[in-house]
Amino acid sequence: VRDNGSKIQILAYCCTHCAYAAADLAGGLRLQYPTTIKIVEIPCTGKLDILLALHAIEEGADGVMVAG
Amino acid sequence: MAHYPKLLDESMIQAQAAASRAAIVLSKDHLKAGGRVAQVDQQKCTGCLTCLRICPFEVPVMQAEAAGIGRLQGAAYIEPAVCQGCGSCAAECPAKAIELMHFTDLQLQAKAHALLHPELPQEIVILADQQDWKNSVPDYPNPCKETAS
Repeated sequence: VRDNGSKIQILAYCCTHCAYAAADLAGGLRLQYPTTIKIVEIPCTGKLDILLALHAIEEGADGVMVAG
Repeated sequence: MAHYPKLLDESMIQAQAAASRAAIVLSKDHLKAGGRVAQVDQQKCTGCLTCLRICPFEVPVMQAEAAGIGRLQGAAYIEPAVCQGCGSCAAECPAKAIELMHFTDLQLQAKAHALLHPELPQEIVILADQQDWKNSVPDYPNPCKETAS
């Protein structure tokens, strides 16, 4: 939690085949994870270019997670 | 795929079945492919060969008859029916000439915007949708058919 009361936000770019499938499974199993993590599906971590990660920071994300 | 030792008759029947399955694909004039394929904007292509080297499936080719940026001879072409849609070329292209359909830069930026600012109006989302409609392609020529004839 930041000083002004707003929550820290993390944008997670997840590969369809592994990390996104895992997140899907976690949802199916009703596992709890912080709501401050926002997941975006990408077809492959190869699709992620540096501009996309920086754009997330520009939009106000406090961290970018790449999982794949 | 090897199963287990089996009788000659059975092996032949199975081989014929496999051949007929292959014929289904080969006999078609057009193949239906998923929409998640990379598309080259040849007007922007500088012909640097980055996509040819980066592609894990060796799909992009240089078309000598196509004109790239500044009417230079040769531009990259990605066969939609063969493209696996991993997006590596789209990320690496220095000229930003390649876009991965359904995962365009605009669409991914709109997703990030919507997730991080759910309270703001989502005007970028509309733009991303319009671009998707513009680029929808229904059928692709069968590349196997072309080489056979």
